[in-house]
Amino acid sequence: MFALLRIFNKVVVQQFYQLNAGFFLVVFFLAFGIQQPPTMLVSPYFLTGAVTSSIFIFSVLGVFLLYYLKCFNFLLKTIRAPENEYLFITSLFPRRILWLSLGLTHLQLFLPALVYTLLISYYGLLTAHFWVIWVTTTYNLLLIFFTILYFHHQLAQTIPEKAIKNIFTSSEKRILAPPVLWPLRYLLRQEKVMLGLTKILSLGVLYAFMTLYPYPQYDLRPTYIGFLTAVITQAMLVQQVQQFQETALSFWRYLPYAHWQRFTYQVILFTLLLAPEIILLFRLNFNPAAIISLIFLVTFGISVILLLYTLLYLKLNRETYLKWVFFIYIGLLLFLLLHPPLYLLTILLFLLAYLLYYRNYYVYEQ
Amino acid sequence: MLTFRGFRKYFGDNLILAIPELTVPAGIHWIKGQNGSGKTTLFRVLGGLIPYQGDILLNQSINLQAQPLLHRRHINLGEAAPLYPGFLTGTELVNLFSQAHKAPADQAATLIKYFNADYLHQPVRAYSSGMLKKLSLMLAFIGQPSLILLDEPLATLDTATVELVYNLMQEYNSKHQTSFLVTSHQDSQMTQLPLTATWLVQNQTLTQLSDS
Repeated sequence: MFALLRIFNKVVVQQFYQLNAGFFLVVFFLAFGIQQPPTMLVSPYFLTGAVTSSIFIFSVLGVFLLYYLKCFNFLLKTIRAPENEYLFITSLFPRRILWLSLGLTHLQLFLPALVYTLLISYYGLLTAHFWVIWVTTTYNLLLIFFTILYFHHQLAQTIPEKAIKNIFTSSEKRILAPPVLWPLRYLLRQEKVMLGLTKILSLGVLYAFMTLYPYPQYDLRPTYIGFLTAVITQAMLVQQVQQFQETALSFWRYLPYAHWQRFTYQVILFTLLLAPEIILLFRLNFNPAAIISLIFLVTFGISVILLLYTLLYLKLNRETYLKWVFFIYIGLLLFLLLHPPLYLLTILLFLLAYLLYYRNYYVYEQ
Repeated sequence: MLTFRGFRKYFGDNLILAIPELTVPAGIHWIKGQNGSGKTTLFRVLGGLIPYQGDILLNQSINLQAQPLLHRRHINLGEAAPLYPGFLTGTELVNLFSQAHKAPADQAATLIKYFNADYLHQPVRAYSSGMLKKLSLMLAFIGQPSLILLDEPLATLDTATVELVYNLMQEYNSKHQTSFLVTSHQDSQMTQLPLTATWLVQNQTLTQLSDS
C-alpha cells in the first residue's frame, strides 16, 4: 500500500500543491490579507456568529464544491495524462488498498477545505448547532466516496471512446477559429475548471468592489482597484497560456511573424480573455460621464496582463513569477489610490511589456 | 548557403555544439550522427526554435538571429517529433502555415492531394504517428523557402510516402533551388537521393564526411 500511496503522493499531491501555489497565495491574500481581525474568516468571534446562519454554511460548502471540482479535475487530468498511462496497473491492487489510497489522496488535496469544515463543525458543537456538524460531515463523506468510486472506475477501465470523439464542436471551431485564439480554445477544452474558477473569482471581486463601495459614479477608485484585482487574478491563466504557446504551439516560433505582429496577437488574445470582466465593468457602471475613464481602465488592464505575460519570458520560476505578480499588484494598487493619469501609466506599461517581449522572445528557451 | 561563424550552443553550462567556421553550400545534405550527438539541437537552432551564440548567415545576407522575420521566411522546419494541440485539425494548421508564409493559392491543396492526406479535417489527436509526420512534412513544404530542414523525415513513414518525399525534395531543389538538410538513420534509403554532401555531427561539432 505504501508503494501505491507514494506514487499518488508524488504524481498527484505534490504536483497539485506545486502547480497551485499561486492560487493558494491569492486566495489566502483575499481571505485573510484584506480582512479586519473581527471579520477574519477563522476568528472565533466571526465563526461563533457565522455558524448560526444556514446561508453562511451553505455558501461555504458551495465555495468548497468549486474547490473540489478543481481537485477532481486535476486528479482526472493527471491519471489521463499520457505519461501516467502506467497507473492502470493500480487497478490490480486489492480494492481495499486502492480505495484507501484514493481516499487519502482526496483528503490531502481537499485538506484546506476539510480543515475549515472541521473548524465550522467545532463551532457548531460549541454553540449547540448540531445540524452544522451533520451537514459538513455528510458533505465530506459524500465527496470522499464519490472520489473513491469514480477514480476506481477510471483506473480500472480504458478511456471511454466518447472522450476522444467529443473533442470537437462546430460552434467552438467557428467562433475560436482564428489561430490567435487557439490558446482560448485550449483553456476552454483542457483548463475548463481553472478558467471557470478564475473567472468566478475575478468577476466576484470586481462585482464586490463595484457594488459594496458607495457612490461608484463619483469615485472610480474602488472600480479601478476592483478591475486591477480582477486582472491580477488571471496571472495563473496567463502562465498556462504561455506554457501552451511554448509547448504545443512551439511551431509558431518558426513562422515568419514580426515582433509587432506577435505582440498584437497577444493584445487581441488577452483582450478577449478579459472580455467577461470588461462587460461586467461597463454593465455595472454605464455612465456617460465615466465612459472615457472606463475605456482607459480597460486599456490599463490589458497593459497589466501583457506585462504579466511578458515577464514569463524572463525565465522566472513559478515562485519568482508570483512574487513579481504580487509586487506589481501592490505597486499598482498604491499608485491607483493616488489617482494618477491612467493613460500615462498604461502607455508606460505597454512600452515596458513590448520591450520585454522584443528583447526576450527569441532568446527564451524552456 | 549556410555560413557558421563562432557558433556555440549550450544547455546550461554544457556545450552541445560548437562550429567555429563553416560553410554549407546549396544542395541536398545528409546530416548523420549518433543519438544524442546534437542533430536535433542543430535543427532547432536553424529552425529558430532556440537561441544560440555566434552568427549563422543564410546566403551570406540573412543573419538568422538578427533578422528573425527573414530567417523564418526563408527556412522551414519539419520536426522529428512534431507536436500540435490535439484539438486542432490538420486543415487549420495548413491554413495557418499557408497564410503565414504567404504561400501560392493552390500550393496547400496540391500538397494535400500529393500526400493523399484526406484526413486533415479530423483533429490532430486522432492521427497516427505516420499521419502526424505526413502533416508536419506538408507544413515544411509550404511557402517558397530557401532551405528546408527535415529532422528524421523517414521515421514512421511507409515506403510509398518515403518515395513521395524524395520526389518532392528533388522537385523543390530543381525547380525552386530549395536546399535541404536532412537527418536520418536510414542509411540505405538516404543514398537514393542526389546528395550534395554528407555531414557528421560528432564530438560537439559538424564536419563534412564526403562530397557527392
